[in-house]
Amino acid sequence: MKEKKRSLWYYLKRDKFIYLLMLPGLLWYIIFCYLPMFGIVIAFEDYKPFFGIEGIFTAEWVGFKHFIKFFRSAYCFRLIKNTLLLSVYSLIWSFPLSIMLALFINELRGRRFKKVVQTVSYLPHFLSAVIICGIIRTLTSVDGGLINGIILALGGESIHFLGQPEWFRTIYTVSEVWQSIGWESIVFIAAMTGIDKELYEAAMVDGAGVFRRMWSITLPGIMPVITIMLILRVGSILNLGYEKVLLLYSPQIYSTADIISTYVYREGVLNQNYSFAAAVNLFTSVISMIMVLATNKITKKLGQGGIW
Amino acid sequence: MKCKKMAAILLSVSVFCVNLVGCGSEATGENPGAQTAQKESQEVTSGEEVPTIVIYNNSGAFSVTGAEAGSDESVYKEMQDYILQETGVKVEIIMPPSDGSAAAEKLNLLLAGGDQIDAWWGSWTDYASDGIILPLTDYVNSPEGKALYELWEPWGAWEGVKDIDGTIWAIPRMTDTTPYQVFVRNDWLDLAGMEMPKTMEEFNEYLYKIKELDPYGNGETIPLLIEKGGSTDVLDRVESVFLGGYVETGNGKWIDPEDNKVKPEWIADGYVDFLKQLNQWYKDGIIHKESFTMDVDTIKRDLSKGCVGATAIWYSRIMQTEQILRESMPDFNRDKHTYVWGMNEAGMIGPNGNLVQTKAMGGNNGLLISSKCKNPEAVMKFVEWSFEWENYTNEMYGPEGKYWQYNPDVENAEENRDVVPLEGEATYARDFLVSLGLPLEIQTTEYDDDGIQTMENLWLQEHLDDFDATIEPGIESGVIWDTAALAENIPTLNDLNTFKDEELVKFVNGTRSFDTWEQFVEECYAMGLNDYIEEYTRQYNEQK
Repeated sequence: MKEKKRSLWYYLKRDKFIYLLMLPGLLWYIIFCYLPMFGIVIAFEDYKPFFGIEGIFTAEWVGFKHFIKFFRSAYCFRLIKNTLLLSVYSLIWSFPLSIMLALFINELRGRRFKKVVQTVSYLPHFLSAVIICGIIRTLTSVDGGLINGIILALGGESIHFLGQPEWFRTIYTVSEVWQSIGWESIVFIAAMTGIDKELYEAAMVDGAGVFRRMWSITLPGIMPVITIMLILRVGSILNLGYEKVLLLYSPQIYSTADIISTYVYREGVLNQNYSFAAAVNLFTSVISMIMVLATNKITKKLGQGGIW
Repeated sequence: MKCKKMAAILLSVSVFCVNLVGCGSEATGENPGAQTAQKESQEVTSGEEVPTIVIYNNSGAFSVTGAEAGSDESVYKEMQDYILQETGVKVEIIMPPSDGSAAAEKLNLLLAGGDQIDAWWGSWTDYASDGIILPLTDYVNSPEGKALYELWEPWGAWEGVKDIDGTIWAIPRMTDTTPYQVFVRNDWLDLAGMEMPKTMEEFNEYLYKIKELDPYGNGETIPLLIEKGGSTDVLDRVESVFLGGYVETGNGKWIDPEDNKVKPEWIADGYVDFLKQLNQWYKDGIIHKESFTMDVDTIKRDLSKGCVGATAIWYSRIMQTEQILRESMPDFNRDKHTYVWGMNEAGMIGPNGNLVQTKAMGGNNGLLISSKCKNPEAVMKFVEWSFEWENYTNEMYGPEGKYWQYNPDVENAEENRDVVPLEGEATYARDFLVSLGLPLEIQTTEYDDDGIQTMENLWLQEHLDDFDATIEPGIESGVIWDTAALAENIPTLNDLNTFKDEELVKFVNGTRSFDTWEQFVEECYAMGLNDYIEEYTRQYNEQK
C-alpha cells in the first residue's frame, strides 16, 4: 500500500520539540555564518571600516582592484608558497603521527597509564599561541635557551634560530605536531572504539599479531574517519592561522615565515585596508573550496566514502 | 505524558534563551566602566546629564614600569570622580597593549567595531581625508582654547597638525626632540679606564673593551643594545642614533642634486658604511644576535638587570629603568656618578665628521577627535583642563598628597614646581594623562628619595631639545607627508618597505654580501622605488 504523502507542516508539528531544540543552532548559523557572508562585497569596494555596516552601501565600487593588487604584489607567490609549505609540512607530519598515536593508545592495556598518556598528549592543545610561542622563544634563545645550551655543551656555536629563515619551517612544524597530534588523535581513538571486538578476537585466534591487527582491522575500520579528517584538513590548507607565525616572525625571516594571513594582518588590520584583506581571504576561501571538492572526488575514486 | 511535554518545552526554551543570552553578552576586557560608556554616551547623575567620553589612551602614558596591569580600580575611580567634579565630564579610558603594533591593531578593531571611541592618538593624515576625525580649528582658536594654543605655539608644534589650508586636525603630542642619544654605563667606563667617548672610534674602543672584560659575567654582557624600529622601518631607531655619522643628511629623506628628486636615506652615499659598521658589530658579538626580534619588555629587562654596556634606543627605556638598576647595585657611588648612565652632552662625532644623532621631528601625531564623537566640546574641555600644570601633575602621578607632594626640602617648591613622587599607594598607571609633551613636562622638577633630580626629569629639561647635539633629518623639517596619498600613489609601498627591511637586516647579519649592494638598489627600483621617489618629490614640491 502506497504511503500517504504528508505535508511539511505535519512533520514540523509532529517533531516540533526536536526542531525547537535545533532552532538555536540554526539561528547561530544564519546570524553568524550566513548573514555576514554579505560582507564579502567589501572585497570589491574601497570600504572604510570606521563607517560600520552603513559604509558597505556607500563605499566606492572598485571591482577587482584589490585582487589585482594582491596578484601583482611581488610577494604573492612567496606568500602562497610559504603558506602551502607550512600547512603541508604540518599535515604530512601531524596527520599520520596522530593516527599512529591513536593506534598506540588503543593498544595500551594499563588503564591508568593509558589515561596519563592521553592527558599528556592532549595538554599542549589547550595552551594559547602566546604561551606556545613563549616556550619556543625561551627554548631557542641564545641567552640560556635549552637548545643552544646543549649545542654549546657539545662544543658548537649558539644559533639564533628565530633569526635564520632556514630554521623557521622546522620550528613551526615541530611545535605544530607537538601541539596538535594528541588532540587530533581523539577522533581516531573514538572511531576505533566502534570497531567490532569480535574481529580482533577472530584475528587473534588466527594468529594475527598486534601489527597485523592494526593493519588489517583497525586501520580499515577507521578509514572513513581518516578520509573525512583529511578532506577537512586539506580544506584549511591555505587558511593557516596567523597568531603563531605573527608571534614568532621578524623581517629577517620573512622569506620563509611570511604567510598569507600575516600579510593580510599587516595590510588589513594594521593599515586599515579591510577591503584588501577581504579580497585575499575570498581568494583563499575559493581555493580551499576547490581543494575540498577535489579531495572529496579523489577519495571517492579511491573507493572511500568522501563527505558527500 | 503532559509532564514530559512540559519538561521538553521548558528545556527547549531554556536552551534557546541561554544561546541568545550567550550571543548577546560581551567581554572586552576593558575597564568595567568603559563597557557601560560604550553603550551610551550620556548618563544621568543627580538629575543632570553628564557627558561621558571614551579615550583610547595610546599617548604613551602607560609606558611606565608597573603599568602593565593598569591602575588599581580604586584610584582609577578616584581620578575619574575628581575629573568629573572639576570639569563636569565623565572620562573613561581604554588602555592599549604595550606593543606598538598590538596597540594599533586594537585601535583599528575598536574603530571598525563601532565602539564608542571619542579620541585617540595618531597621525592626522591617516584619518582626515576619509572624514574619520573632526577639524579642531574652531575649538583651538576659541577663547577656551587660547591657553592650550599658546602652550604649544613656541615649540612650533601646530605646524605639524595643520593641513595646507591651515585647518588644525589634532592637539600636538610631540615637539622636535633629540631622543636618540648614545648612553654609556659610567661605572663600566671607569672599569675600562676610559673617558666618555667623543667619537665613534673611541666608542668602538669602549665596546670592544667591554666585550673582552665581560663585566656582567658568563659571556652575557651586551656591549651595545639596539632597538628595532616600527613595522615598516626596522632600522629606523639605529639610524636615528648613528646614521648622521655616515650619511651627510642623517636619518631623513634628501634631495639628490643630480636630478633634484627626493630620495630615501637608505640609498644615500655613506649608508653602506653604516650597514658595514652594524655588520661588524653583529659578527663580533657587540650587538645582540636577537636585536631585530627583541621586544620592548626584553629591552627593559636587560637594562634593569645590568648586562648592557651602551645603548642606541629610545631615551625613556633608560630613564625608566635607571633607578631600578641603581638600586640593585649596592656599590654604586653616587658621589662619583649621579646616575648609572651617562652620555656625551655635545654629541658623538662619526667617521664623516658629523654628529651621529639625527633630530627627531615632532611630526603629525596628536590627539584626534572622532567625527562620530557626540560631545567634542566635552573632549576639548577635558583636554584643555588637562593642559594646566597642576592638573597635568595630578594626571601624571595621581592625586596630590597621596601620590606626590611639593618638595619640602627645597625653597619655593610650589613656585618652582619642585615635586617628589610618593610611594606606597595603590598602582596608578597614568590612565588619565592626556597632556604628555615637553611643554608641560619640563615645567616640573622631580626629585628622588635621595633629594637628587631624577634622571628622566633632568634629561627632559636639559637635553631632549638640545639640538646642538644633533643634525637635521635631511629635508624633513617642516614637511608633512600625506600618508593616504603615499599609499594611493605608490601601489607597491608596503612591498617595497617589506623588501627593504628584509634585505637591510640580511646585510647586517651577514646573510647577504655587500658585493650585492648595487643589485639591491636595482631590485628596489624594480619594485617601485621610482614611484616612491616621484610621489615624495611631488609632495615636497607642493609644500616647499
